[in-house]
Parts: sequence; structure tokens; C-alpha cells
Amino acid sequence: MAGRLYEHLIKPLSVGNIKTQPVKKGAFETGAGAAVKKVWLNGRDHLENMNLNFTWGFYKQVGDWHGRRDLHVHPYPECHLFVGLDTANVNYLGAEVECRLGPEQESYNFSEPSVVIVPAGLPHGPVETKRIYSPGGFGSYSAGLSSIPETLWQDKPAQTAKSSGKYAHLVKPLKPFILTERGKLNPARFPPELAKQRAENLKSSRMKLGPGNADHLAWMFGSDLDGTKINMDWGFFSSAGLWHRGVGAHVHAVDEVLVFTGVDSDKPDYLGAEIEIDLGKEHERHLITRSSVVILPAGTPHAPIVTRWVDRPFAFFSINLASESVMQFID
Amino acid sequence: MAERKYEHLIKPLKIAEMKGQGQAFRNTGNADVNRWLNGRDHLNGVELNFSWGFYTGLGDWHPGMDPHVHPYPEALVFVGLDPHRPEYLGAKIDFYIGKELEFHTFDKPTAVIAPGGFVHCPLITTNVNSPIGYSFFIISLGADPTTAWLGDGLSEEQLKQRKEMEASAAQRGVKLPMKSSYPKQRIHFCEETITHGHLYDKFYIPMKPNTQTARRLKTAEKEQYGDMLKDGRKPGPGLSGNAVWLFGQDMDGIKLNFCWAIHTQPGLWMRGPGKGAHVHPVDEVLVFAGTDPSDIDCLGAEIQIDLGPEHDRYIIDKPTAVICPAGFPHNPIVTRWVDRPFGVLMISLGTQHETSYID
Repeated sequence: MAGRLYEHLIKPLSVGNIKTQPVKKGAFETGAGAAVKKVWLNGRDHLENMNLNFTWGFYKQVGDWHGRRDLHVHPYPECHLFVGLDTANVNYLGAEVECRLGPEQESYNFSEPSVVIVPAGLPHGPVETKRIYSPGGFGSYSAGLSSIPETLWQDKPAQTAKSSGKYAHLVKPLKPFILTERGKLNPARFPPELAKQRAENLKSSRMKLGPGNADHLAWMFGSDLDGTKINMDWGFFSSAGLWHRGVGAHVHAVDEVLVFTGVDSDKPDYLGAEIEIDLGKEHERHLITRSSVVILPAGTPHAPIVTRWVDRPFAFFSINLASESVMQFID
Repeated sequence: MAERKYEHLIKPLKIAEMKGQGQAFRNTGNADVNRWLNGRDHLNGVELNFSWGFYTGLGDWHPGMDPHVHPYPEALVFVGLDPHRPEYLGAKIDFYIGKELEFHTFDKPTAVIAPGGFVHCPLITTNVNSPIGYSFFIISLGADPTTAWLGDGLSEEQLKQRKEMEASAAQRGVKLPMKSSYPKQRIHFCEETITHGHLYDKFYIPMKPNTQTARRLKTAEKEQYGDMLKDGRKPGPGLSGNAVWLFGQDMDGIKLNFCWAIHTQPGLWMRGPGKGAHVHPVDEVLVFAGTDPSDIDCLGAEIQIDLGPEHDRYIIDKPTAVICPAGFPHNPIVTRWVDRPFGVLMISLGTQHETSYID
């Protein structure tokens, strides 16, 4: 295959591996509920200086995620997605999680896939896994809008509060954002007017979903995420074939990452599929065979994407640094 | 836009469209529509001519003209169009072969072998059960389609007309799809001249799924595929589970192996280590054919194939033949999407499918 101009834009997720320490009572750095496997990639070290850092981890144990260092704050907004690993059911989390938000550490609990939005400067934490139902645990990814992760740990307040509802608008179930479920588009995802407009846009682009597209996909936009300048999705894929028919490469005016990951916490690098993606206007072809991130600085042509084979359904998420996902097709 | 390096190896089947064909074959069992490509005009000189067509008619395919003979061997293959019932033809065929006009009949997918110089036909469709008919393809090992018609059913006037038409075409420099001759020695076909023996049973081969997607292969059988089944290579999701692959040893030793299947699923065809390009020591033609009898020019799928050592990727979205000359690297193949099941015919001009992977 000719030329490898864009090889640096595809990285195994393992470049961002975080070594999780064993829990030591009394002096633990990580909480009992911390991820058993986790990666944390940032713009400075891994993502071509994008204004983004993101994590992805597998959680299989109950307990506090951060141990003693509970309440913290970031100078940038952050969105946390809590997702199940049952590739047949995107509405299954398989766990019960408590998140505390605000300086008062108001408590919010959920047991279904959810997104938690943390505006810049809002103290939050701890996160605690209360119960685990799924034998494989669950997953979580977060997207922070800074190329360099920054965390300021704060002292615990003297007294924590139950939820007054003050921050309830920042904790949302994933269900209303589901765009595709069991391979079918969810007509209720958008209000009628918006749905009509999106359908017209799709028609004018001549784009159709291909057989390799998602079995299940939830997609959240800035308006869903308290105005955060980000749109992000989460989905499961199990079929071979082209992802989008009728269109070739496209670009975005903003940075984007595409993350392909397996869902086996014991083998986080195992993708279970082979995926072909074209990068650049030259349509340089790349193959993805392990859990990887594709880094797409603004204006980088990419696609089509073709899933060549699937041995085990895999997960995919993308993070695009604009409130809306705007694609410009170039060929 | 400048022609791409290997574009000359990709031939849409439509280039062999014959205008007025429907009229020519009216009231016969012959094709409603077909595409017949040959090495001389379409396939860059490959010693091959092949056809693909849809059939619903009843009766003799060449009334009054058969039997006939070619200077080259050929396989005449009758297949159904139901991807999920590979052993359903949907028609009943009477086929006579040999100078003895030995009678055979079949109603399941079947390949009939005619060695070079071997008398064969008439071929008569006696029944069509399938509501959409069936398909037939011929694989003939000559670049220049040539037939000596031995039947005595044409009148002198008809013969004269045909000869005049052929002479006129030759004068105008028009190459007819078939070079025909009418030897003086004729064979009369009737109830009294046919025989009911079993001399040529071996020339009738049932088209039953037989590749490794359908059953476990014996070691000797695997050898026929070259390196295709070595080093952990295995079928991908894009391959059909109902493929039929015949080798030279199945077909009276003729220098041909071919594989036929109707594909229904997207994905990579063959999985394995490396980039997946391979070569053969003989010429090969890959035919991607639609299965919609109402539109022979519709493929109903999109397929990508890499050609050349640089893995130049080509997209196929209409019925097409891809020529892979001996030693020319090709593959992998990925089916991108499928709206309608499509047929794949791999024709390789060797008794075995010798394959060597290059990357």
C-alpha cells in the first residue's frame, strides 16, 4: 500500500495506559472501585495537541474510584459517560453508581447508562460504584476539553448533602440520546422539526447507513450536554461492511477522535474485528486490528470506514470538539 | 481523469451486450438475456470465452443447428438463483452428448463438460419451475468463440442466409460474437438417433456446495488450493457458505478450475496474515454478476478489490469481469454492502488453483 503519511494519526489505546496500583488499606492511591484497566490520552502527549484529553476504563469492583482524594475540580469542562458492556443492549449498565456534584457533594445515583456533565470549575467527586451486576463490569469514558489534564484536589466538606436537584440537569440517562437501537433508527431521538431537517440534510448528502454501521448508537450534542462545545457518541458494532454508503471522504472544521475498543476487560487491547479506514485526501488506507484511537485534526479528510470482519462485537465512540457534528464531504 | 494503472483489467459485462438478442432467441430455450465475453474482443487475449445469462424459455436452445462442436474444451453450467437453496435449479434440462447423442436429463444445478472436439447438444429446456427462471454460464477455453454446427435442421435457404450474413460482416470488418462453420457431414437428431447409455455420465457433475465453508476438506483436496488454505487463512464474512469449486480432475482433466457461489453478506472474503495479495501461475478471471433477471446490468452490491503489488483499490458496483493475468498480484476482496445477492464466478485456467501469497 503506497505511502504512510498518516500513520502517526492512529495509535493503540495502550499508549495511554495507566498503571492501576493494588489497593492498600490506609494509604491507598486509588479507591477500591477504581478501574481495573484504564487509559488516559491527552492532547499534549498523544493527540496532536488537540484541546482534549479522554479516558476509557473498565470497572469491575465496588467502591470509591479515587480513594481519599475525593472532591476535585478541573479548569475545563468534562463529560463522563457511564456505559454497559452488553453489546446486545445499550440500555444496560450492569452497575449502580453514585456521583457527587458541587461543593456540597450532592449525591446522584443511577443504574442505567448515563452521562454526567461537569462544567469547568465545578467541584465534583467522589464517584463510587455501589453495586456491580454485570459479570464483565461496566465501562466509562470521559472527555475533558484541555490538552493537558489538570486536577485540583480539594478538602472534603464537613458535611455532604443529599441531592436537592440543584445539579440534576447535569446527570442524564443515555436512553433519550439513542439514535440507533438493534440496527434501526430511533424516530424519537429528535423532535419532529429537527428530525425532518436532519433527514433532508442526509438526503442532500446522498449518505445512507451501510451494513457495517452500528447495532446500537447513542449520540449527544452540545445542546444535550449543557452547552458544552462537544458532541460525542457511544455504540456497539457487530457486522461487516461499509459504515456509510454513497459518500467518500469527509472533513470536520474541528478536531475529532475516533475510538475503536474491545469490550473484554481482561483483554482491553483485543478489538475482535478488523477495520479499514481511509485517511487524507489521497485515501491512504489503514487497518485497525486492536483497540485504537484515530486522531483527526480539523480538516483531515477521513473515511470511508469498512469493517472487514468481526469475531466479537466491539465498541466505538467519537469525540468531536463542536456542539454539532458537521461533515463536509470532499469526494 | 487519466486512466488508472489497472483499469484495463476491469471489464463491465455490459461491453458484450448484443442488441436484438431477445428477438434472436425468441421461442427457444435459450437466454432471455446474456452477456458473452471473449478473449479476442474483451478479455485482453486470455484463452477464454464465458457467458452469464438468465433463462425462462422452453425448448431447444439452437433449433435445427445441433449437435455442435468447438475446437476447445468447455464447461456448461446450469445454476439456480436462490442463494439459500444452492441445490435448486428450478428447471428441467435434457442434454445430449457424444456422437451417440446420449440422452441425459437433470433438474438440479449441474456442470456439463465437453472436451475439445467433442460433439454435444441438442440442449432442450423441458420445464421451468422457478418463477424467476434460472441461470446458465459457459466457460470455454478459447479466446475466439468458434463453433461447427452439425445439425441438419436448417434449410438450405437458412444456411445460405447465415453464410451471407457472416461473409458480409467479414467484409465490413465486423467481428461476430461466434465464428460459425457448417460442415457438410451432418448429424440427424431424432428419437431414432439418440441413445440411452452411460458412456458419458462422467461429464455430468452435480453442483453441490463443496468448499471448506460447507464441509471439512481432506488433505489431498486442500492441496488443490495452493497456499489459500495455509498459514491460518480462513474464509471471512464476505464469502458464501454455498460455493461449488470444481477442479480439472473433476472435469476430465481439462485445464480449468472454477468456483461458483451466490454471495449475500458484506465483509472480507479471505482472512489471514499479511496484506492478502496473491498470484497464480495461470490466467484468472473473476466475474461479479447480478442475480436480478429483470436487470442483467444490476449488481446490487459494492465490492472492493486490490490490484497490483501496490494494492491499488478498485470499486465494483456493476456486473464486471476482472482479469488477473498469470503472475499478477490481486486481492484482498471486501464486499462493502449488499442490496441483492450477487453471483461470483472465479475462472482459473489451470487444473489446480495454485496460489502463492506475496504479502
